[in-house]
Amino acid sequence: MSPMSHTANPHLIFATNFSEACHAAIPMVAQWVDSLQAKLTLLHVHGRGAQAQASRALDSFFAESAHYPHSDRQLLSGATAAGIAEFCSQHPQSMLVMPPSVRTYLPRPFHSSLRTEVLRQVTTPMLTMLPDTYAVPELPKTGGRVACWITGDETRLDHVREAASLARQRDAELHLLFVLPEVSEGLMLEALYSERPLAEPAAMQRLDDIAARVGDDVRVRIQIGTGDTQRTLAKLLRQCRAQTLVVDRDTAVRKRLLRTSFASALRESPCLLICVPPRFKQQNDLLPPPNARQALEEKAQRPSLVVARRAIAQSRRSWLAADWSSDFVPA
Amino acid sequence: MILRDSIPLQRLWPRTYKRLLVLVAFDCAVAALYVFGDWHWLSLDALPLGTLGSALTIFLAFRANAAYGRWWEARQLWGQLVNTSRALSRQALTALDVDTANPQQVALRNDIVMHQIAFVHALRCHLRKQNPFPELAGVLGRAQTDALRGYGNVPNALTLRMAEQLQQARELGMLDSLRWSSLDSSLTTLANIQGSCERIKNTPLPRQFSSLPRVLVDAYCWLVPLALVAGLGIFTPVASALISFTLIAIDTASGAIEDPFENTVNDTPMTALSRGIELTLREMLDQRKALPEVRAIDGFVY
Repeated sequence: MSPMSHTANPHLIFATNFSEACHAAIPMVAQWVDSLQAKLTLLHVHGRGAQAQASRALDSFFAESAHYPHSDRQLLSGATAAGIAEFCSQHPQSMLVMPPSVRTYLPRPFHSSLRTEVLRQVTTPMLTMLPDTYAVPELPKTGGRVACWITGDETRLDHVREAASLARQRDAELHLLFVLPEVSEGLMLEALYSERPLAEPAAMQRLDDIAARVGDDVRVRIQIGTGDTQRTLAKLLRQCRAQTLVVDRDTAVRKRLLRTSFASALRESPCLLICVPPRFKQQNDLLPPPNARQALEEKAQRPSLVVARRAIAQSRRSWLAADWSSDFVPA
Repeated sequence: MILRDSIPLQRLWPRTYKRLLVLVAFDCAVAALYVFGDWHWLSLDALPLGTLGSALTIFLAFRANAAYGRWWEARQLWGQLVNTSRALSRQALTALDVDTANPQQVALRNDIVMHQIAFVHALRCHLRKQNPFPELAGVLGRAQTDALRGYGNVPNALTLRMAEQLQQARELGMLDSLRWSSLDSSLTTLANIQGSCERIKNTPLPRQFSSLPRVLVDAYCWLVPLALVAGLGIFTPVASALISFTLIAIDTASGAIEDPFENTVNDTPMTALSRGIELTLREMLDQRKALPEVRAIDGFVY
């Protein structure tokens, strides 16, 4: 059976403020809608007293979507980030699309990224691109490559799950990327506080563990690079010719004093970015450290554990897949 | 297309700030060295610079004119598309001998008009490099849209399909040779409009026209403070920055309109025009579908 045949129509929520950046994102959204046969919702959250104007603008924005087989427009009032998060919480099996704001190249010392604010509040994945990302690669009708960045510090695998689901839906290759730090004295200190693999064999083992959880129906490739995170990640992405990079929310968002922004490590990414927040904050995927792998594999043979994991996998459905029964069962 | 009366400087800033900041720093350095360092040899005679300014203005005007010519031709082509769409639909609705009791003939006649609507949307998407199929599925239906997926040039495939529909009408006895010829010439006009739009899209303004004025503007802006410093002294950066900004803004503005199908605010408003065509043609078919007009948002219409 084709991987596409047992999946439901996904749902894209395009949050817009009618900016030029939102308009420029229309071809990308149209491509995703067609490629995934997705339902599209155009969402605008307006301030008090601006309903009439916002309604007119929403009718005129992305006018062609009126012809799309499954599309609607939603107008909400109130605080922008909270409104978007609230709407997304009502549609848990959806993906939020938020383009970056238009760059002004003027100093904005107190500017806080709305996208990161929304990202901290929503439980649905967010499709976005970074302001410095030019010439976003075209999404092929089927196939292509989906990249997933593993930092080694994550305790959840929601982003791997989403990446695998997207790869399965599009019949694409899944590339697991890992960036090793360059050897320095700081590594000795880091090794005390972090479970992150610091050598290639350990990284390979960690990625193998993760790849084993993805399932046999997705072609997985592992790519490891060494060096500066920003440059090496961009290099790996160019090497694997990925159209989409999937990252964990906590990896994508950088917390700074009184505000948040996107992590500088992603700045040179040539891909579209999908940030995946944790679906259930209280649950971890219990990703084992490399030295605990053997024990987990022994436990995985027990049917009761398989059933338990199957139950967890089903409760954490992706925005893409209707049937998760075969996913993330230990291989 | 920009409809608002004033364009905020903030719109020009992202395209000009790098050049301006460097020039302002240079202006300040020249003024400081001349006034406080007594480097009077920095001063240049203003007369040669005035002559250079005149030559530069001719270059800039030529480039702005060429860019505006492309923008205006694109707008004219879309105006012609509006007229041709209405004419073709009117011909299809009135020149075909349709037996209203025969649903096949009525469907064929209406299908030609729906394909014309689809052609307009497909041409817009073709020029903006946008996927047209979700939209076409809403106009033509999924089956007819899926049949178009194999084509690289979808609007051209739609004109071919309309020609095939005319041929079918002719075989059914709904159309004689004279009227077929008239309708076919409307299709040829559509093909010509598409070809002209593709020419503008695929042929950039000659690079000499865009790069030479830029180099000359930069050279002129570097020389301006040297010519002004003897007269203005410490206030040189103010006047020099103003002159530099004017020239750089003209250079940038003409660059912004030279590509009218690039999905920016400077585009020909193809979304609004194609929606207008659709509303008119659906009215002709007596299908008053509840589609709103596309209006300007914040003074910009796409």
